Amino acid sequence: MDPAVVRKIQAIVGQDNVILDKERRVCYAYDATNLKFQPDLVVFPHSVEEIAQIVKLANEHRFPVIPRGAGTGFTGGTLPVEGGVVLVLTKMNRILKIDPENLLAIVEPGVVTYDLQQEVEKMGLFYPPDPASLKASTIGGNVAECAGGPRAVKYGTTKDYIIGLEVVLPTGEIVSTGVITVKGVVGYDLTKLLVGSEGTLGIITKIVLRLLPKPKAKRTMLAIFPTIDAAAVTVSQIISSKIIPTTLEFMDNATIRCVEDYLHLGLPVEAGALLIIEVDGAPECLAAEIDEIQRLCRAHQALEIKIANGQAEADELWKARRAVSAAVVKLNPTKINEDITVPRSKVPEILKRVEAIAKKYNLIIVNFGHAGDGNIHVNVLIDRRNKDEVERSRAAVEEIFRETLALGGTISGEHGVGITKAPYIGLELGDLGLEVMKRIKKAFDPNHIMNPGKIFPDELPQNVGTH
Amino acid sequence: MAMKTLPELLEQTRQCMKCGNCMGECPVYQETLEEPLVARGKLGLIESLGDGDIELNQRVGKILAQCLLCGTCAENCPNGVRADEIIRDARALLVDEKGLSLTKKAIFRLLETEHLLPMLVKGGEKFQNLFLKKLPDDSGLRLRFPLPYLDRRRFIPPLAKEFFLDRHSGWIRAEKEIMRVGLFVGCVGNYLFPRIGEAALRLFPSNGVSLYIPNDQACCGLPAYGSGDEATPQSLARRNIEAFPLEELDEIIAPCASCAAMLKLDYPRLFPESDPLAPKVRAFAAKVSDSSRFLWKLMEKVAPPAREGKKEGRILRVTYHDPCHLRRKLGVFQEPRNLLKAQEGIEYVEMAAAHRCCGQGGSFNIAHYDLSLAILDRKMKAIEDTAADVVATACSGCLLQLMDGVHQKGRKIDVRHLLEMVGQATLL
Repeated sequence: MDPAVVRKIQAIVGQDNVILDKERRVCYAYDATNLKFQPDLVVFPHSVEEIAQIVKLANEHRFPVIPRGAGTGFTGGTLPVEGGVVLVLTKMNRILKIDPENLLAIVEPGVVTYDLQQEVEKMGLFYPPDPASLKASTIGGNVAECAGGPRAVKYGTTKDYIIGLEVVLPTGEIVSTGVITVKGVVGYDLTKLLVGSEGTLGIITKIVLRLLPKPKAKRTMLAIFPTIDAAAVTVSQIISSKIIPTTLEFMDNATIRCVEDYLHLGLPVEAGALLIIEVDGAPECLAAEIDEIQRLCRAHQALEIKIANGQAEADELWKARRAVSAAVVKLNPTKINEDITVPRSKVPEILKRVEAIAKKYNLIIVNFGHAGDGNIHVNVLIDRRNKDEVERSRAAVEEIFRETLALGGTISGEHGVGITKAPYIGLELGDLGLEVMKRIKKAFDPNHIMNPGKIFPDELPQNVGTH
Repeated sequence: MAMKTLPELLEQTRQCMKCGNCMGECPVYQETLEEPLVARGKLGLIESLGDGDIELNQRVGKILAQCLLCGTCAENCPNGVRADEIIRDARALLVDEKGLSLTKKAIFRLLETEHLLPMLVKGGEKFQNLFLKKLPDDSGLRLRFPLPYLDRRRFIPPLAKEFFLDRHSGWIRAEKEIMRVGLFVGCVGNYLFPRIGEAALRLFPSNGVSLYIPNDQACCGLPAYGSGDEATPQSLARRNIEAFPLEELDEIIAPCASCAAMLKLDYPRLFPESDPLAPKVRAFAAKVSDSSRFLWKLMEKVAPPAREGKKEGRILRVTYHDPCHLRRKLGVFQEPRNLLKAQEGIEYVEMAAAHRCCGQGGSFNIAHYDLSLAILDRKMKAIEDTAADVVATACSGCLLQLMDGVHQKGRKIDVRHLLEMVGQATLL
């Protein structure tokens, strides 16, 4: 990078907040995709003004700027695919306000999601989105990627809790979007546009979050079914009996076998599916809901039902689900974690089709995830060093995406597009849909400096396919 | 030659998926919020060495040094990657390539030389007043003049008037012997706090355990090993293994969890199967036990303890800090709590995140004192919130660190080894 530009950046944020040496830069070359692209510079800004100045410099000297939170994304949103300056926002991590009267919080982007949840819960409040990475991931990253999580069944995802933002636009101007009120319909909803924009339309520097009162109680149960169909019908029946569980997680047979091999919890390895069901709310309502869910499970051939008494027992029931990640990589070291989503009723059908694809390409594919909202984590397990396996997995993933779309689903429920899904988004969006998005990108970022090489397939760098 | 080659380390780093879970737990990352300071960053760095993107140099060494080796990342890694071990092994590669710093070389040489360390320490006892000034409450010392590598704010406990091994060594027989056990005292137990070993003398022979205390036992070697030096701990291991008459002993106990983990887990790593001494090292390691687990088992055998001790008269509030080496390396966390709860006159109170590292981390505390203090701050807050009179722990590193914390904060909290709290709480 031009030393004169580096000096200007150092002058803006201070020398201590700029990483020049390669030894530390390589620590910002990857994210949870485990793909690697070297940044030219890593910078830790501490204020919106510093960010705005750096973005203006980027327009002047035409270098890419890539915002980064904790770097726990699964699609490469924070990878500097064209080099440039990685802006790490972890040090802008103040909770500016928690307002119990108006049920909102105002935070900086670097606040860790879990820390925010702990703080608001101390005041009897609740921030529901719970991506698996929440102990490490930042709110800013969650907003940029529109993170989901198991509680989405009942509470929705990040987008349902963001009502206002402060953003440094790709031109270096600072804009505030949205409201701090419950309602607000003035102009286009720029807030919603920016949520999930993957850092391509600006850098989020302040976030206004909607909060809920914390549910008073929670109950957890686990049910085991002979077939995936029986489990899926149970899920549909629970929802149509007007109970919305907080969480409805499932594991398929391959996943159950993996976890049992790994932890020896005594899970029946012949079982077709396992469900973990949680309900929350007023304690007096929960008993009736749990009874009804239990009745429905039994009516649909549940082989075994366990209901937790207290948090320790609930943790015990979650053990199997929490061990999935560790267990499945014992089969093969590289996990390609896709997050397709289909209408709830189509879950058994998509799983059948995935199974057929796994057979066709001779791959290990295990499925688990959020049965309650149709969001299935399809995990293709390969060894990245095996080139042939890598090729087969690419073909399989594309076929899985096609089947997902054929069933009315989407190729990403919560991970976003980044670079790993970019080659496929045309399948879902169509030419015109894609074109509208490109026009928006151009209107926001005329000089094409903000997180370039993401989302749009024709911008992909040469050396990336999927994973 | 370092015991792991770069290709061997790369085989292990490949298991890291870069999910970033380690960031949610790493005490060093949580203070600094910079990726080179967390396990994922360091594993990425080692991979970059493998890819040839960077070379093994002092800047790499500096990054690798910024780790407590507390093992919290490994405990929380969904793929079970032992980043702490990989980082330590990578430090050894660096020592191979670039050598140790002169300061470290000098210090480790002291640990290794049979008579030099005791002699120097004894000299130090006479001269310590020249360099260190006594704190007003007579409980510790501070540096009078700046010494390289030591921060002047640091609290340093005074050397013992008489070292443990000078007062006690050889066989100390139990009247009704049920077993014979070797006692590994450790440097802190010998030079600074003989009262820890004396607690063992009080507790074990009276309960049927004969103790053998070799006079020629040496440092366990952990400070050197953690820095990537493997020659020094190998030579120390040879001496220590020689010092204990293995065939006469049922077990070897070490009150310091770090020593225990070193003897039990790292000695076998230092001697590969091909080494002629390997079988003996493994037999030695198999007999090593942490003192709190040993004591709890003994109490269950000799005099089954009450689950809750009587609470009458003056009650001492006691909390417990989990040493990393005890909880995460040796898997011991229940027995220390059981022991404390079973004591008469002690009310046990659990602190928040008792398992969180205190920030000592061996030489980490010397090279990165400010960072170490920042990590310690969170621990001190958790301790203060319990309103405990005593914080007990079971590792010499933690003892020193917590004492420093108590002094920095000017608090009246007693820092004690767990063994000191057993069987005599009312005397304290």
